Amino acid sequence: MGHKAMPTGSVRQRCGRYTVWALLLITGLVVVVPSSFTAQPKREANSFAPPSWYDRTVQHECVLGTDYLGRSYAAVLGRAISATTRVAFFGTAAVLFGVLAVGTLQGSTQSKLLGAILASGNLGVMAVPQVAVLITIATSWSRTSPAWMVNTSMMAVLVLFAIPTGARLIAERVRSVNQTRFVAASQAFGASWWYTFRRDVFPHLLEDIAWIVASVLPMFVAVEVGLAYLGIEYREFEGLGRALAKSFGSIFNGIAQFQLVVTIAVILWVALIPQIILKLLNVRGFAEESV
Amino acid sequence: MSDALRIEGLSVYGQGQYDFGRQNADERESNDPLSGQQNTAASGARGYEVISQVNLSLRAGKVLGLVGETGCGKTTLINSILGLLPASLSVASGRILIDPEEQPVDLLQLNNRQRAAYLGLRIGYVPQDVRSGLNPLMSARQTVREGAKRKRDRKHQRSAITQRTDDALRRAGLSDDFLRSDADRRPGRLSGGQCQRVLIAQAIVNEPSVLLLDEPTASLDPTSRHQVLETIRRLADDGAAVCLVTHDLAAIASMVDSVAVMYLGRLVEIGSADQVLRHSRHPYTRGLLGCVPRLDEKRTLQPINGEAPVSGNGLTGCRFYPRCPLRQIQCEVDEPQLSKAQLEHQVACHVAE
Ligand code: SF4
Repeated sequence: MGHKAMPTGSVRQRCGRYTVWALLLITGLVVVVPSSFTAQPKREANSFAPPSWYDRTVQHECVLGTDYLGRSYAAVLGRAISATTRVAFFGTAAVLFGVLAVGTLQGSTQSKLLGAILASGNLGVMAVPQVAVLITIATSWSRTSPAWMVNTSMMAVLVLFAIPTGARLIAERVRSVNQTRFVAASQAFGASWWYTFRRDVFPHLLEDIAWIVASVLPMFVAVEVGLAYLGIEYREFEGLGRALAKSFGSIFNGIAQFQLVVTIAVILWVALIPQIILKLLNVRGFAEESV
Repeated sequence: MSDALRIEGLSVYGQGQYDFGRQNADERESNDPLSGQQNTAASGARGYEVISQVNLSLRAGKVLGLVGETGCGKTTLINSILGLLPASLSVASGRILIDPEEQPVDLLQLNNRQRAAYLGLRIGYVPQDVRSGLNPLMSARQTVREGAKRKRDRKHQRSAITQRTDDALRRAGLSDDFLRSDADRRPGRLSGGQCQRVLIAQAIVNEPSVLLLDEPTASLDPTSRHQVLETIRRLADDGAAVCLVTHDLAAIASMVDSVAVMYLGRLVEIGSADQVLRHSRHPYTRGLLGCVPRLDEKRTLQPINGEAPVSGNGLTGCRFYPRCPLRQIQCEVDEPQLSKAQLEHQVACHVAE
């Protein structure tokens, strides 16, 4: 009597799940409406200043302290999440488009030429280290080259590297779905290619698409962070890589150490978002019935 | 009763090797001579022969049973009607006329777009294999509904489509209970018999005049098989011309009106169900019937000797000659044609004539 009821396993699980959804929602909002959440901090200091808990602009203490330019680190991190995630989303969308277009074409036509190109592309991807190509490209541009050109070329390399593997996966799925009797039944119903693809084939690709997104998006985050950390970046672009590099730069400052840990946690969180969503949605559940 | 569909002199040839990729899994796994071994029998500019000079009529209100061993060309015949032949096969000659007595249209002369106006609307099709015939991600009702949407008329409204969907499910023999509680389930949660009826409902939702069923009872238990066959009979009685492709002679014996027997792409016997199944004259048909077990009679089943060759190419004379217990010297050189003497019961055999 009088004992406080301990939360049961399922209640704890539910609480955990709601927390993860809430974090996802906040991250999503940070990405979608960054200015409301993370108003662009002013560059307060004319010269570099050590991170501090006190923000002179608003004249009170900040949750995550200030950065080397005296800006609220929470706002800086918010901008960085937004910038990196947008780049990663854009890159993932490009990969997905390429993978779907090439994979569907190959799966539907069973073209030997395209099959050979994909197979050799796949071998090439395995044989050549992607990071080496990215560094070579980034360093081969002259210092005066427009930053968007440098970034676009790097993005193109990432997309090209990601397409062969994903396209082969999609092609194989399209081929196997096309051979099922329900597709034959659709065709015997006079269904057009587009109708068959939309109604019969595409729903069976969703699981593959989900897993491609879950593996490609972290890759873009990792590459952005990695290259920015190494100093290969677009100057106006303040992503998570820059945040990591700058907090690492003041590593001997206690506040910077704290900011570094937070930044690493945020990078891991952003990179793992697709996997977390897949886990939460239990994608395997619908995939069980797929072809 | 008039003809709803007529096949005249249909020949289908394969180029190079047989396209195993388009063959269905059942055929691949079975002893199908077309898929069990690599077909290297292609010869001549036309390739190997898959169907040769087939003439057949589907009558309104009647059920035609198309029987023969796996790989004899039954499914290819159906696919020719539907325009679903794999790229490696092509129609060499013949006509497939829909509405042959009133406004004949040769389906083989139509392009895909034109043919689509008939498929699903005038010609209904039930594919082989209950399970893989239904999209596993669509519920039973959704599947039939998608078919119902094909009919674009004034009633192309949500409520009219729903009405036609439920009507089709009922006509396919599914109960109101099923409609209430199970129709929104995916095929994985339905029984084989229910899945088969959903496929039939999809085929009949637009009330086609011709219904093609490819092995509709192959994977069903005896009760479901009986119910499905009863449903098919009822659909024919309502006026549909039904072609029932099967190798299950025992199951269809009591419900078909006529039977056509195919061997190596040729029709070898055709007549009323009574004539072909009870007074068969072709040695091949007799061989098939000899393999059918009977409950009322204890007897040793007598399978036909040997296996059907990969294709008829290279064979002169009767195609059944290598396996025929009644063969004669003449059979090896003269190819028998369907006898014209008795139009109601035609047999392609020198001895039976
Ligand atoms: S024609 Fe000759 S070989 Fe052919 S089925 Fe008749 S008897 Fe047999």
